[in-house]
Amino acid sequence: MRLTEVERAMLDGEMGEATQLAMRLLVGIGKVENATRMISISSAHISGVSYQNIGDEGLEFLEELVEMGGRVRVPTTLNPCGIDMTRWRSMRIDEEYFEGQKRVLNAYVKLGATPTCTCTPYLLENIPAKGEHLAWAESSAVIYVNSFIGAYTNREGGLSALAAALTGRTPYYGLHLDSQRRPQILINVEAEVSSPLEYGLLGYVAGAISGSKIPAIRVNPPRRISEKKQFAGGFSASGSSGMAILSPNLTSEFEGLETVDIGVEELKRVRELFAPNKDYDIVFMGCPHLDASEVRELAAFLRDRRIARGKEVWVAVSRRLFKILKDEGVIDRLRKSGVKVFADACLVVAPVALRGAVGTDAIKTAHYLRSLKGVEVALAEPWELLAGVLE
Amino acid sequence: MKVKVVLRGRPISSGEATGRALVSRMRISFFGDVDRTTGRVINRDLDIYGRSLKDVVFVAPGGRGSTVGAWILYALKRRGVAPAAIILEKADTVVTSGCIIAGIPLVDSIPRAHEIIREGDLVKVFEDGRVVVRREVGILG
Repeated sequence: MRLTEVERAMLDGEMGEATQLAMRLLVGIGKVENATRMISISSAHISGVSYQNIGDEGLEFLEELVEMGGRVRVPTTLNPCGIDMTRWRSMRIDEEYFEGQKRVLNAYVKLGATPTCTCTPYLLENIPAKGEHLAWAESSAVIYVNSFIGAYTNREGGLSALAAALTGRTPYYGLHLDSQRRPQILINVEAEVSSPLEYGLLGYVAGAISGSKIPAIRVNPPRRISEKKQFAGGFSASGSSGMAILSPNLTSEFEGLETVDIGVEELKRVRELFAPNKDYDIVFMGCPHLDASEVRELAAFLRDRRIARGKEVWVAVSRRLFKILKDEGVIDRLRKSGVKVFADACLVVAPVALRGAVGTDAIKTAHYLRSLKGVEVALAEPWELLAGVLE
Repeated sequence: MKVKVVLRGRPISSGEATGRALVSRMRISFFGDVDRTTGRVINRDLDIYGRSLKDVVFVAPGGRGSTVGAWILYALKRRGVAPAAIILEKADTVVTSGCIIAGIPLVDSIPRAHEIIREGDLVKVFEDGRVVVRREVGILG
């Protein structure tokens, strides 16, 4: 691998111990992926923020990096840490876990990361421009920015994104190369796809079909942010590719590719796979985190109606959006209806004790609650879900 | 009779280590397949289910699965139950990240390593990616 003078100095330890360890990691990945050089990045987005996932050892590692004088060299945002750092008690989280999580976040802040814990940094906190090279973890965000913004990032892990943040570099391979962003499979959609949930189902089916390949999907592309987010979430949960191309009229450059047709039946089957249990006491929305218009629509839909006793509705947004909506009065209106609005949070990566089934409008939540936590789910449109928990 | 085989691999995480070989014919995800506190393999679908990774030279075709696996490798090292070294036919970015931060030697690009190296072989991994395999063999095979 060819390194610039600065990169060589990083590797030789002339720019600090933490930078050296980070560059060593990137060179290792570069070797494995046959990268010929590094590329400078505009921003990083780190996963591995949940105390549950990285554990005490991960926490010690981060604190060691701080002691070594580690400091990010590009704007860096963080993935959800699982719990809301101010309203964690109402998520039924114990004190000890909260303290551990606080130490993890403190370490990241000392390394220079912005503690806006969200899986949708591209909405407010860390907005990439078309053509920019990034090192992002959080697969749904990776798919979103590659597919819908035209930024360039591989599907990084938490550690490789952290190493990229500490050096400002990432190995130049995979989705950083235009030659590696061409579709390898064609998916023909013979169905009308319109709601966010339906785009989520499409993403899930497309991810399962594509595996690690980039699909070109012949379909009316999503226009609303909520539709794009759900597509990205579904695609990330079932496949390992970091990008998809969605277009109604695919040109001749895609001819000759392996082609798969999917119709209404396939989408319906996935929906039925995740909707066996209609008996739920809690509804979770915000995977990926809701955008402003989704929360405003929810508040408008509920108006004066209230959540029934014994039922709960949890909504997750980024902390930045939470503040904006608080100022607008939207958060208070939702609270009056009995909705719990959480920032920083993610139901899947937190030790939330769940009793019974969970209703959700997000295919990614449905997939992971079932596969990681063995929780029964009911996947449906938001208004269908709310009908089951209102007074 | 003693047999010695020298294999040439590519050092991904450089270091020197010696241990008995534990060989898996299947790819491994350290997240989900391995208990982070004991180093035991807990995935029943794997051919090495129930075995301990502590101090062995772990040989497999490759890694798979969640990027959280890198943190698990680091946790195993911290707890003193990590493999002494890892040899893969083809390394992936997850195992690579974990081995580099944990300081576990990792060598790849040895075709069919998991077939050439057998359970119980004494294996030494060198910094330059060389792997020396020693095996006791009965005269009559």
